[in-house]
Amino acid sequence: MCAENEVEILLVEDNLNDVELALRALKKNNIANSIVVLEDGEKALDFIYCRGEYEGRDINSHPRLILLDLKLPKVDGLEVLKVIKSDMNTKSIPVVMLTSSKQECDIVESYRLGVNSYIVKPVDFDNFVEAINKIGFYWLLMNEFKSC
Amino acid sequence: MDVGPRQTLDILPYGKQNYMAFLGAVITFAILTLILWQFSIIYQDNLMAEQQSQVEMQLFSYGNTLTNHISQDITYLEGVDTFVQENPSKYHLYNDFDLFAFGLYSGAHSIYSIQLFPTSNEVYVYPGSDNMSFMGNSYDYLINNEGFKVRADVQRAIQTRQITISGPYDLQEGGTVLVAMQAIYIEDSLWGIAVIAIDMQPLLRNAGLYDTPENMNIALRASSGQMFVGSRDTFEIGPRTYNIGLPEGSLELAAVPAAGWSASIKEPLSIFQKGGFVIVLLLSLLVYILLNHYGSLKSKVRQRTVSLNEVSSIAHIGGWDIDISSGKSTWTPEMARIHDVDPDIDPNVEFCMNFYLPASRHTIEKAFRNAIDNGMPYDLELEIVSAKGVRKWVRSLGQPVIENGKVVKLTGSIQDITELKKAEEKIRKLNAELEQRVIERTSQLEAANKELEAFTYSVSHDLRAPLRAIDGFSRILTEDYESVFDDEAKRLFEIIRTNTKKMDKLITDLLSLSRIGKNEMNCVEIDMTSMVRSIFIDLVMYKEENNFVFTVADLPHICADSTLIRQLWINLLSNAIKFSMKGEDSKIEVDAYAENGMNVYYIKDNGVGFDPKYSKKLFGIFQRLHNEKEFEGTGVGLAIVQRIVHRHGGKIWAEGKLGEGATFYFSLPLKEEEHVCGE
Repeated sequence: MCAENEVEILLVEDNLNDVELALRALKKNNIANSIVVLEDGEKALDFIYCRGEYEGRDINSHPRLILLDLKLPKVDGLEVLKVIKSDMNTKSIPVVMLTSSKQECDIVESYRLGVNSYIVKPVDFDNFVEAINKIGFYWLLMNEFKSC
Repeated sequence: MDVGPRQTLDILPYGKQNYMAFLGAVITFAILTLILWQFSIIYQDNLMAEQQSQVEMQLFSYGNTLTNHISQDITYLEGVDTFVQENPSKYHLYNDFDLFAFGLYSGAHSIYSIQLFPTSNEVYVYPGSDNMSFMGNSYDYLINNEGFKVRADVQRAIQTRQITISGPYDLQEGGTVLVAMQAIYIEDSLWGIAVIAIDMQPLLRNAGLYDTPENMNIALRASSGQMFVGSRDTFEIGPRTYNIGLPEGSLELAAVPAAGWSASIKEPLSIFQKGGFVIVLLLSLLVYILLNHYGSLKSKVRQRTVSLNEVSSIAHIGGWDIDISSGKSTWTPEMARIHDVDPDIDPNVEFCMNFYLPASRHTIEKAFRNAIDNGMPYDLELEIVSAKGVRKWVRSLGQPVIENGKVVKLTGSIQDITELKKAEEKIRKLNAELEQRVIERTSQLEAANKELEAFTYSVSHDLRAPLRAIDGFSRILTEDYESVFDDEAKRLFEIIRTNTKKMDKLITDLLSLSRIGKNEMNCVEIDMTSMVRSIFIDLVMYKEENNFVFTVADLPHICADSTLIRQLWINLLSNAIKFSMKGEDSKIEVDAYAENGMNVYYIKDNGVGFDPKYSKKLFGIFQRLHNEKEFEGTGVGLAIVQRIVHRHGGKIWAEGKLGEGATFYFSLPLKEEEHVCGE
């Protein structure tokens, strides 16, 4: 079984409104208990690789799912994705891209870099809740099979 | 190419060439006629000589035979002499003469009679005494009778003791004889006279003279002038003659061709002359034709040369050639004009090379050397300075002439291309400017495009986030504070949420409209019928009222971008569904026809239709003909449809009436798969 204290979902999102909506959606569905929210790409990388602020964190304790916004301050979402997916240690963490539009180049680039899934954040909150629900449920479950 | 200055070239007028040819023909005719005449004379002489030799041969044959016969007959006189010498007694003669004479007579050819006239005046005659008459009947009569014409001859025979010829004499019984006589001496005293008369008729017959060829006239006469055969005239017209020698005097045989000498050679000579004349005429004609042809060719060459010179002067092309072994070179007047020198100047290679600017000179010398050594032609654009100091651009062409694997000659041209070069330079400058302008504009355009892209990107991302917040928090409000808000408040929250969704739809539509022009088209063959069917089914699947009568004809396939065409049908079909849903018995019909190399597809509904005066506004962006309450929509759908059709090179139009439905037509070009994607 998996450790009790491990982070289940890492949400990287700079828009606080979106964070709140996402957290509400996740909670509403009772998908995850342990969610870490970070507001830029740099912090996300620091967290994953236990650097800077997060020095001392157990490096082997990977989040079970990363929800990554495409547009982020400092280090952009695609950049973060690239780093995670090119490192053998972190490659297996499922990463789901969150974005506002279906801009094809973003989608193509994300898949090229090895993203596991891709969600266009719907404007309709009900749809948004449903999308988060589905993606979280699916990937957390998948990850559980893999790590355990 | 050796062409003098063109002004000095004179062209012979056609009449003059004609005259020259005629003159040539006449001279030829005169010379040939003279030659023919000379030959004709030689031929005539030959013919004559041949004819004469033929006549002579014939004559010789007759003459020879005659001579033989006569001399044989005369020889018998000696036999008679011997006969008498043996035994001159009367007894012996009386008994044996006849027998002896018979012996001679029968062996001879043409002896008329053999006679002995002893001085004792008896007479011995064979055959018979009938033949006595012409000689008299005794010795005394022979030598004494004054009236007897033989007497002189007899006396001469006695004196000379030689065979003596007398006569001829005509016989009373007809015929002519020639008489040969000899005096017989016994012991130096005259014994008597022996006579043999030769009968001319059998003599001549035996010699063949009575049977002469018809084409020949033959005459025979004695020295006395008496004629034996033929006409006396024969001797007057230059006959060939043959002398038959007798012991005394002779006979003369003569022959001429029956028609005369000249008449018999007239025919072959005439054929020779006529034939020769015809040949002369033909040869003269040939000379005339050849000269005429040559003249016109020459005149053509001159004309061509003149026009070539004119053309080369117009085109500023000069020609030259150099003989490699002699180093002799020639050039055309235009060459001199290009170099600004006197056309009469005698050019040489060094002279020509001096005109080139150093860089050009280096190039041309190398090419020139290569042409001579390796037979390589060249085509160069070079710069010269003419004799007047004018800088010119020339195009210099050189072509080696190779004989037996060796370059014997170089020939080429030089064209003044200064104007061309100037124009080229100008064009190059303009092109460079244009290129620069294009680069500037392109970069401006690229910058604008990038800005636009950034704009649409931020529209899609940044405009959505607030919308999402508005919608999400409205929703949270209604959920978390359900007890606080009354129904009216909840309705107002609903309005907020509806509008955020509408705004979202508007953003999505705008983005897809901008994307149509941006992405590359990928054309494949599309089965329109099944595409239309599947889209329609998708669209009506979740509709509550889907009692449409939907008919799709067998639509022609088309090569086009499948994603865009799908978008097009989605928009048109959803429009048709949207605007006909409210009526009863809604009908939607899709069909197509071919026109002007295009497939025209159309979709017809019996919905609310539109006022035809607005038909042009239908496809404008944000153009709506109905209010939001009647039909929802952003006013972008048909703009997207129009853009898709235009991108494929087609057209779109609509027909309709208020309350009577609408028909949307669009055409797509019928092209091969790889060509459709042109915009």
